[in-house]
Amino acid sequence: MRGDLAGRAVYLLIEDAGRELDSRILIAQHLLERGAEVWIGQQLWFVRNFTALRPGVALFKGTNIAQVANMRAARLAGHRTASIDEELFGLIGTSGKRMHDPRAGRHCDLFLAQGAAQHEFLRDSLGIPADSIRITGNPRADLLRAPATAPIDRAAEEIRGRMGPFVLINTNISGINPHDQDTYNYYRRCIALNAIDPDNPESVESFHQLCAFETENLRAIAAFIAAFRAAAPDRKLVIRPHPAEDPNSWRNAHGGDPGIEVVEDKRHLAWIRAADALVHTSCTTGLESALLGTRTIGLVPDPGNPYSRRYISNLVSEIHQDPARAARALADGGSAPAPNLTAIGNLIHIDPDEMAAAKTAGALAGLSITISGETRTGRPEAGFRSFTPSGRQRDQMTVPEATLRGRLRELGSAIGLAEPVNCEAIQQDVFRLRPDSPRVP
Amino acid sequence: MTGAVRPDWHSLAVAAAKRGDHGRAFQLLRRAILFDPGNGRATCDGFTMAERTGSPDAARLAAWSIHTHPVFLGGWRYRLDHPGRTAAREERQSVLKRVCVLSPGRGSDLAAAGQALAGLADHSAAAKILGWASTLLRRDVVTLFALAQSRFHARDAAGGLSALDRAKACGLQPEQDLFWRARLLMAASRHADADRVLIVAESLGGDIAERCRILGHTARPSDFRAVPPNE
Repeated sequence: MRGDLAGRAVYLLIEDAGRELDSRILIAQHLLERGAEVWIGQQLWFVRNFTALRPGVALFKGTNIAQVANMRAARLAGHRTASIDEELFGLIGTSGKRMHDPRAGRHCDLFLAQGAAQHEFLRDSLGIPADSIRITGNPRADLLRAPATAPIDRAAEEIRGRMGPFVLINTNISGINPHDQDTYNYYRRCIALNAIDPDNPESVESFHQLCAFETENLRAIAAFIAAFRAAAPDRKLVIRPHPAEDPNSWRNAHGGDPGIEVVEDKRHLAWIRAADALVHTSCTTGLESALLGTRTIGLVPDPGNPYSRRYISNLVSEIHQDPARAARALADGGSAPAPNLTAIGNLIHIDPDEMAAAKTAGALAGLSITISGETRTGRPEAGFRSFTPSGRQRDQMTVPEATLRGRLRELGSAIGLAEPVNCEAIQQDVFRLRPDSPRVP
Repeated sequence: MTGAVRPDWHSLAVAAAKRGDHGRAFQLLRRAILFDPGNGRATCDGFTMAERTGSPDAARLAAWSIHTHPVFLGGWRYRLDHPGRTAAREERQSVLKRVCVLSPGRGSDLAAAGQALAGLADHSAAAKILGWASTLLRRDVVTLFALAQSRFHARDAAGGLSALDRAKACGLQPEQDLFWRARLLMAASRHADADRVLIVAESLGGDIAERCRILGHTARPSDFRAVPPNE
């Protein structure tokens, strides 16, 4: 396949660099290997500039109402569109239909499914034709398996050298401890994203259930912290709040305890790898931890809450309903039980012989060849409109050029695709990558 | 005797810009605005041309046209009324702020611009401008209530409570007062007071009770700590 995408453009749009950058770099490496020109960066810059970019394939991070509106803009400008649902990575269910705009089938040319269960949902519940769906797995899972873990290992070594041994608590209560002050603001954001229908009592009740679930989880974490500090006062705890949470709530509560540190470092995989164990409350990072081989403890204080049954992490973690027992189990030592990965085969497709990033690049390549050569070369790629991110957008998606170059080099070297890449900064957080030398098919 | 017909400087400027002659467009637009300050389209187009071209002449035009002189007020108002389908958020913000600078004595302009900025989630600017508006429209409940909300979003809870008190004194509906009072008290870390307000608001039933129930889910500082177990 080397060189078969020469002269073609693929646009990899990123919403949250902490979540998506490395997986997009893996996809980019495979596309560059095939000769494609890859643009990568702030999704909203692309939305403003689709008409100035020559027609190519644009990869979006999901099919919610905002993403589908952006897809429509891309399609109107002559691009082909594909989506990979990044919200779904750690979920057993499929977020329900509300997270998927009903117009997705009209504006998205290709759906990349992370497993057979999602394929079935897209086909049967959303009515997407089977030939518009490919099961590729999710490249985020590639990052948790050798050989791509080498950069994580190096970063973990640095963290462990600095921190010493520690137990990591990843919290995810951004509904009741949101970065923007209160739960009512979070509720308004959910409505804006079509995740909640305020006119539907069932939908609103589900929101209340989510808040009750998070409240129970917060109690469990607080109780775990108190119990663990009592059982193992010499061991360090690191709390890493979800990026959408207000970290100051944790700092204010535990800032005076020398045995507890609150960190906001975005390298969440490296922190998991560096930890003796990860404690979570139905969080996707529990899945990532299990795949990375770190001991993973899930606190599930209310197994009856429907939200407790939504997360893949609870299928692969050591589950405790009682936080004090979890604290004792951890304080007493013991090794990590091997995660039960067969339980999740239907949810996340993991092919031991081919990376999800390679499969994704292959699927995007198949879409790319439907763009005619004449169209591909017909646009000047000039006069780009600038995009100024808001504070929150900047927090989510800031990628200095040096960081991108470093990640390209590190990940490329880890997976054996380390050929030189011509990296050009187009605007802040937007880059054009080209193979350094032309690929010959 | 009839006077000479004045050229349509604006049309000539547009034609020059289309030819790519931005220097000439700059001169013509300048004349269009100076000879006819009421022609909002000229300022408006000047701004657009300046923004969408990268030439040095266009940069000069931009520097000139963004000057906040009252002669441009018509242009900025025109821009507000005709934002265009592609007007970006930051462009609208910028125009709104200019209107405020150019129209410091008109409370209605300031209040409208402040509320529009709040709608664009530029809460710091909105709070500042609504603050100016509220000094001119001292008993306007809509402006005072909008000011309280903007200050909440701009993380000035104490200022928000003060604006809410003024709005209440001017006749703000009790339901609105209670809900926002609870939010502002929480934001000011006065959780016990907020909880008392929430109880009153929830007892009113209806939409306000539902909104307060949602707000009440917000975690309190004491929730983040637990008492160590006795073993």
